[in-house]
Amino acid sequence: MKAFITVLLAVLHGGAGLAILIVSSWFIAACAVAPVNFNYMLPAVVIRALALIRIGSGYAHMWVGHKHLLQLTSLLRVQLFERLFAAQIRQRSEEVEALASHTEAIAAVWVGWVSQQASAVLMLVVSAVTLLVLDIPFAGWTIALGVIWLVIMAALCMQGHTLAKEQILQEHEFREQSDVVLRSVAIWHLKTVKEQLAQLPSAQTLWQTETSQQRLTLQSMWVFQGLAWALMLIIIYLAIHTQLEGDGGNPLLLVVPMLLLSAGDWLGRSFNGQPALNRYVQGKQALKTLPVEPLQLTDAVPLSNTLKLTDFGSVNLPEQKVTAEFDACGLYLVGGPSGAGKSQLLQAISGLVACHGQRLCDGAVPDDGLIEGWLYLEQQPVILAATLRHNLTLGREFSATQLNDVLAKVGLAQLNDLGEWLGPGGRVLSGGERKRLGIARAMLIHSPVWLLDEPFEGLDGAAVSQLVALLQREAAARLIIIASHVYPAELHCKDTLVLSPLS
Amino acid sequence: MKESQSLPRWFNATVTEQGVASRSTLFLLVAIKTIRLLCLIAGYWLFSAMMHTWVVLAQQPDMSDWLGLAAALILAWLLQSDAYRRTLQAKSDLLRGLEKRFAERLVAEQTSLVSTHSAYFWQSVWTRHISALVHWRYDYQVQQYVAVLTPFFALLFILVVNPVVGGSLLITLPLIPLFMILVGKGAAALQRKHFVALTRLGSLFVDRLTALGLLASFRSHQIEQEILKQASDDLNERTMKVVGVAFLSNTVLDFFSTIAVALIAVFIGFSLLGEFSLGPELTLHSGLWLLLTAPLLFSELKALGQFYHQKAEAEAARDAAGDWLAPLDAAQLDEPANELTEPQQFSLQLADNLLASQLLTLLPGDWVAVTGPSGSGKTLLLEALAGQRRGNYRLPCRVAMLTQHPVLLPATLRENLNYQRTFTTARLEQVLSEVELKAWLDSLPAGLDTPLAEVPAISGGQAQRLALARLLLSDAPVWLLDEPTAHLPEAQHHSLSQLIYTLGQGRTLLWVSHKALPDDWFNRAWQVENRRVQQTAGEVVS
Repeated sequence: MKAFITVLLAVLHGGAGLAILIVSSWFIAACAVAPVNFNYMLPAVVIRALALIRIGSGYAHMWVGHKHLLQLTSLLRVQLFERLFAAQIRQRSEEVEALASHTEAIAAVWVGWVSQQASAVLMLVVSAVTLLVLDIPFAGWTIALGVIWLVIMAALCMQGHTLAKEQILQEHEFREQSDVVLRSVAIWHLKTVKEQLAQLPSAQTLWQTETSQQRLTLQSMWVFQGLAWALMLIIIYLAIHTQLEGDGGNPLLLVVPMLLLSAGDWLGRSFNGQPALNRYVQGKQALKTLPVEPLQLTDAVPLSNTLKLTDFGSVNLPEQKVTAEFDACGLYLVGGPSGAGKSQLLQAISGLVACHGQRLCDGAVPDDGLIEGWLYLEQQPVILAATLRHNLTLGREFSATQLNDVLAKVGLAQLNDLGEWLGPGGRVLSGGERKRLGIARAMLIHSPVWLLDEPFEGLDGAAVSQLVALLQREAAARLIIIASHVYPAELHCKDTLVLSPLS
Repeated sequence: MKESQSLPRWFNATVTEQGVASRSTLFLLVAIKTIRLLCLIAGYWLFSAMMHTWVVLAQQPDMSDWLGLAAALILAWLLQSDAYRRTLQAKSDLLRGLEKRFAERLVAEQTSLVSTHSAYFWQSVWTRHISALVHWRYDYQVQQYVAVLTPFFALLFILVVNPVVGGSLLITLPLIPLFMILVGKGAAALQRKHFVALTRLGSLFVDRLTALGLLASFRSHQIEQEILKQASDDLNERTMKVVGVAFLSNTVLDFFSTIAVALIAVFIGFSLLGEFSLGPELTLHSGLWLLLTAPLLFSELKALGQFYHQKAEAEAARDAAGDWLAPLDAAQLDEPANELTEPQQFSLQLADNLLASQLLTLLPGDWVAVTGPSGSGKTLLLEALAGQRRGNYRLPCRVAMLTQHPVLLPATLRENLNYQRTFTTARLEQVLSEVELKAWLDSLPAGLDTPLAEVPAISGGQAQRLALARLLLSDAPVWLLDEPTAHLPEAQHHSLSQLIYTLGQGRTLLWVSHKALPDDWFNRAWQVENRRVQQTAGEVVS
């Protein structure tokens, strides 16, 4: 609904502007000719009324248009989020960030393109119809203007679309190239300075396409302006060299020439909307081709005796074949150098990635998928942009005492303000603090299995001891499997499983 | 945070003064656009004359007027095209110039610079920030000048033709910037009031999208969806409050331009009817010309409004990337020598007091153990000696650095090793056996031409040996080792260190290591503590 009001207000705004110009020029001409019984008060009032309509509709269009934009953007984002229930996006973080601008671009097509084109089309149609009905001289030429506008607009849209597609491809290629070069910065110095400069990516092709887009829009406007002026010059030329239409002193004679002289102004805006249309198309495309990986969610599985793995491994590592047995409560260590597949194994046990082999919980085979309560805590726990309280509770209800209690247990007593904002713009936690926050989260909910990935890396001696003590305590009530290439001396595990690098 | 120098001043100091963007292009564009508008004003005069002849005098318009109008419009049309062409050309040139500076800066400061931000950030400098500055320069700044010159000339001519209309426009014109500044201040105040909430809520969507795995594990997706919805509503409400005021600045301009045209039309009409008799006599000729010219006072200002977002984007670009578009001194990009022949004596002093040292000595062939607590500046020291930091000294010869995380390119093994030059297969195989990777090479399906991505997981130790192979191939006289075994288990640390010891004989070597290394390997020791370096062992050459 708001979309149509926005477009309607835009049409009103544009139409009023054009009407003011035409009615004013006719009015002056009429006053100059001063026919008998000329009611001059009425046009004067009409002009002033049109002025108020234009100003009012201008502000209203911006206000309603922006409100609609914001609401539609929110709606699209919430819908996208809903679509991603039990799923993950396998994309780089910057492409996820781009989703925010894509959703906005899709919503902005109304204010950015549709309004302009609708007002252009309606102004042309209404002028042509009004002029023909009122039998104003040279009225048919407005149809010619309309046709010219349509042709240029169509050409602009098609060429603009082609360029936009090319731009996406080029940007993608640029990012891939520059990614490789930037990530290899540590070895640049091995090359000579000249070679180093040569290997850096150049955004020239990207900019050239952008420039072509700009040039396309500017050229369209320029050609249109030129043709409109040409039409006007032809009309006056005909007036000079042929019989005048009707009586010479007709104030209506200047309506169409005025229309054509100022065509660049009142129709020019419609060409500027091309970038908004391109962004809309790009946004739609991005949302359609989002690489979504569904995650299956499985209900909690009872584990009171043993977890048995036979020839078990992550589906991403076909050679991984682990056979082991874990008690329902206790601390286990999976060791081995980096690259041996420890993270993958833990993710497979939790159900985060698909697995091959056999996994038996108390003798029963659980369903595929992410098992409720079996928490895989990654190396760099995700900190949400939210308060400390929300980061801990993730929306569930807990009392402040419970939260402070659990923070003290993990050694984060210094974070005493539960309302403190974490994440960008707020407090930045160190690597060790993040890991401990991740464990605190896990402690608050019923989680019979913890799978910790490199919990000791980056922590100094005192923090490691504290963490080890905590884990030993918690292991009395649950199964904790730690993957680590660091073996702290004070860590006493029930068993250690060492993975060797797969050859 | 940098002091807020105004954008034009910063641009002039950093970019223009150093010859990348000349002021003359800017003024040429302004001149072309202004002359075009003068042609339009002249064209309007002739148009109005013909309309007057046609409508009032009921005669056919003059051919000379028509030719004049055609000439004026054609000239305006051609100048328009010329302005577009020059603008696009100037933008391309400036883009090239800024990119060159940026590339030179990246090469000069390498790891010390690139590691401070993500790859995505650097890509944004290319794809967004540099273009933002360029667009600002040749669209917004040009339009700023035009938006002042055009009303000046238009008003001048209007005053000549009809002082009454000109005078009243002259009085009302200053009101526009006054109102716009008021509105601007109001909007800025509102923005400040809501700033924290706006920034926090604005990033919520992306933040939750990157945390989908966490939400699935903890079964919090539904709750987060509700929160997202509420946050969006809150954000939208606040944003509308801010833009509700900000839009008024457009409306102010619209108000004045529309009312001006409407009142001028009514005034002219009534004057022609004889209701008023203020000022010189009006005809359809002068009246129509006034009606056509008056909007020019406001139209260029409106066009400036359309470019306004460029100013904000350029300021963001300057804040993010401005430092790296300043010119370099030429010495930073000199090719270093191939050999270290002279004994080096220096006391290092980095810019911004990042690191300072006592008088340090380095003889060709020295092995220096660099120690110190983490965060004390050991990496800084190595980067400074490699020439990546602004300071008073750098090693005069080529260096080869080994860092904690070896770089593996997504290409074949051969291409990984042929990084700086192409070597023969025999040489590559020889080097690989020197670093004890011969067995591993033999196990690869396609030997040297195996893409590394297809090799089942390379261990940390193997990757470092590959990096070491690169060092050998580069044949640099000085090796800088920044904790190469930091992420390796004990056994691999020992074997890799022993390998480095064997292969590094005869080279000058600086080794930073947390883990213990035999003392008798080194003949010199530097201690880094709290950003200060001092020599703790080793002879000093006077």
